[in-house]
Amino acid sequence: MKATSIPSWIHRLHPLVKLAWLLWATVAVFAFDSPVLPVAVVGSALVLFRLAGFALWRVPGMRLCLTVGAMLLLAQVAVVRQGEPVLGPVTDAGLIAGVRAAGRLLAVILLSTLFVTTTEPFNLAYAMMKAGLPYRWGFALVTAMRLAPIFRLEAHHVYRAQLVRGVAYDARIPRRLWLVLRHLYFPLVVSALRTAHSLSLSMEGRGFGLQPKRTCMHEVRTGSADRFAAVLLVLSLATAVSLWLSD
Amino acid sequence: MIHFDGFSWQFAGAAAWALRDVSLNIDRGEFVVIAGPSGSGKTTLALAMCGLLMGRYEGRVDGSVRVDGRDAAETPTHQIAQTIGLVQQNPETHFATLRVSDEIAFALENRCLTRDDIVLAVRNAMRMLSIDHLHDRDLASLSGGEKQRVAVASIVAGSPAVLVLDEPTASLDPRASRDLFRVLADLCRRTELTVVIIEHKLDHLLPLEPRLVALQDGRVVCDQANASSAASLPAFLAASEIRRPDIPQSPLSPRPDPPLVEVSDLAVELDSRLVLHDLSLRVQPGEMLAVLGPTGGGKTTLLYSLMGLAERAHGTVRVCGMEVSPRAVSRLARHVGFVFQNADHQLVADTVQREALFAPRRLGVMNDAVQAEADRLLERAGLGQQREDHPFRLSWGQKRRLNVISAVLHRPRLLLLDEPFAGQDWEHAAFLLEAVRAVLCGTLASASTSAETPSPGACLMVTHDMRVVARACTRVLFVENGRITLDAPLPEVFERLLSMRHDAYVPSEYRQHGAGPGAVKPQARTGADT
Repeated sequence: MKATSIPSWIHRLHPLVKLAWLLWATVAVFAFDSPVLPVAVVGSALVLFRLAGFALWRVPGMRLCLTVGAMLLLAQVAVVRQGEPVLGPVTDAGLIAGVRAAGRLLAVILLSTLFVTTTEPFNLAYAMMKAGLPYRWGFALVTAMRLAPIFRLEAHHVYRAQLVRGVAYDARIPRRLWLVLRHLYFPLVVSALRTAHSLSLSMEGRGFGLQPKRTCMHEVRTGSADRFAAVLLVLSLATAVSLWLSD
Repeated sequence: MIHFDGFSWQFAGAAAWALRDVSLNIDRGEFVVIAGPSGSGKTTLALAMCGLLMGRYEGRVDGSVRVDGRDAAETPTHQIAQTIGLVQQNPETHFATLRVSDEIAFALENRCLTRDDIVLAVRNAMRMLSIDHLHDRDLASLSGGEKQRVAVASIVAGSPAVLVLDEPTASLDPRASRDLFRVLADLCRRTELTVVIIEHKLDHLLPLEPRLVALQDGRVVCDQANASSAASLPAFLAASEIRRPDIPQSPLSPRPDPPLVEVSDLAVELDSRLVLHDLSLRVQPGEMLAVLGPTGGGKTTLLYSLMGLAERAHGTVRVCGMEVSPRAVSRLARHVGFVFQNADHQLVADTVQREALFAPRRLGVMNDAVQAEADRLLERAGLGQQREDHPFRLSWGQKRRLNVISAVLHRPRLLLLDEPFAGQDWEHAAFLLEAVRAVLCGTLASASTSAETPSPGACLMVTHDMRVVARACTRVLFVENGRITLDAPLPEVFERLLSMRHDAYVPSEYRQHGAGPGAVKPQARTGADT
């Protein structure tokens, strides 16, 4: 999954503002017992998806997440027996527990997906480096992003190359797993090490690590939407703290 | 600028010296090509001049290398990097960032230049390489040729005095290769940049009149300025053995047997994009087809489709009488030998010998004749001494030969080869062709001793080596934009390619600028040429 080029104000938000919102919302849905908050966060995430121009059902793995969420809800409803009966064996406590559990799961997954699909990884890395993250760590993130699709493609190539030499990867599951472990692992490790070696030659050959700091051509600008989102974040944090203290 | 003085290098654990007594001066503004057979020490020479050999690899050293007056063995890599920039063979593993402009800015940011200076240098480098239009593009979305230019720009932006490129056209089609060499020669002329290119394929380089340095067994055997054509270089060709052995014109011809490949109305879709469409094809036993075309045109996908490795959108594919499907690939493997583009991907066994015999063993066709044939082919491929070595210890060219040997020993009837000649000098290319022809004629020793009547086979190979095509193939498919735009027998195909303005795909000996289609014919070979 990667950021799309569809321009929307959510795409243009500063990566650190989005990251802060993601972290705060994730903590909040688990910190408060009320089922209303996870439901509200899921509802907000769906609206934000719409505003960002995404069709939710096209996001890879989303159907599986919705199915798991529904199963969590049903499992809580079936298991929890405390509280007042609402319908047959279903109790209000079971419903609340089910909505809370499913809501928390979906809130975290939807918000993380929204963050990943609307944030360029390079912008995030640069923003973090500008905020004080040592540049070697920032580039660890960038090179991971850079190499992940290459390794995935390499794995696919190696799999196919061996299949055509009679390694029966198209056999049934237990045998296939054994064959993958036996034949696929070593060429992939070698390939990964070679790629990492070439990349380190390339980076070092261009002076990476030469200076304690490095400059940056890329600018991640902050705008009024970022300031507004940051103020909103501070306000919601303050509200949450005051609610927590009043309890 | 670069001064080798009696320089020798032996890798730890290696029996022979990789470089022996190399003395060489490369001056500012020179356009130098370093050529030589595979394993002759070209890449080691490049690593030595870039300061990436001593201190990084274990080995014995003698003599010295000086770069801009500094000893390469004692100068830190990052300091040499300010003088010499290295572009590696595969741009994919060169890139450290995700976007074109960021990649070109990378070296300048490491040197802590100001933002304004970086923006200016990036713009200049992009203009020099004619890639201004790629500024904000994602690196993953570029073609092979574009990636190679971005890799060059990422070095040029740092204003090095020397640019070293290690086989920069290994994954490029002939047109992209020619264009890249022209850009580099132009850069050299306009900016006084010293350009050193490590390259096998000289066809597109010789018209640019480079200084040609030839290596053999680690020694410099020829050093000639303004080398403009193979015919003008008899001493070089004779001395370095980068010459064309007598590969006879193909004796093969299609047989009126049932076809080995039948493709009808094939379409293949990848990531919602049609990569092959309206494709129909028949291949008879006895045919050797070259699949040509620009990078990304659909050549490799065509081979994958014939093996059941690409999901079809529609159409039918039958190979060796079997319906091809993704669920029947390992069964089809009995009848088809496949060589992938990357030599490392196919290596599974822990010794060269076991690797060669992997498919016959898995497919249950192992016998004494196959064993004897494996021994013979390994010997002929120059791998006889390395039978018990791990395949990953071999050089790229050696691995490629092992790939082909391991693809033919189970006596397939169809060979699908993706760039089998990459990294091969002419001697070894001739050996590979001999092995392929043995399969096509059904004369592989392991086949002739079996109870079955030898059946002629067929071969489809994706290649950018037009001299091999001219000598060995019977028919050419030109695939571009997912279609077969030309399907013609040799040698008529070269006329057609010229008329389609694809002259980069026509070997220089068949090319007569300004001549009409009828004038296309091989020019008389010189003594040095044979």
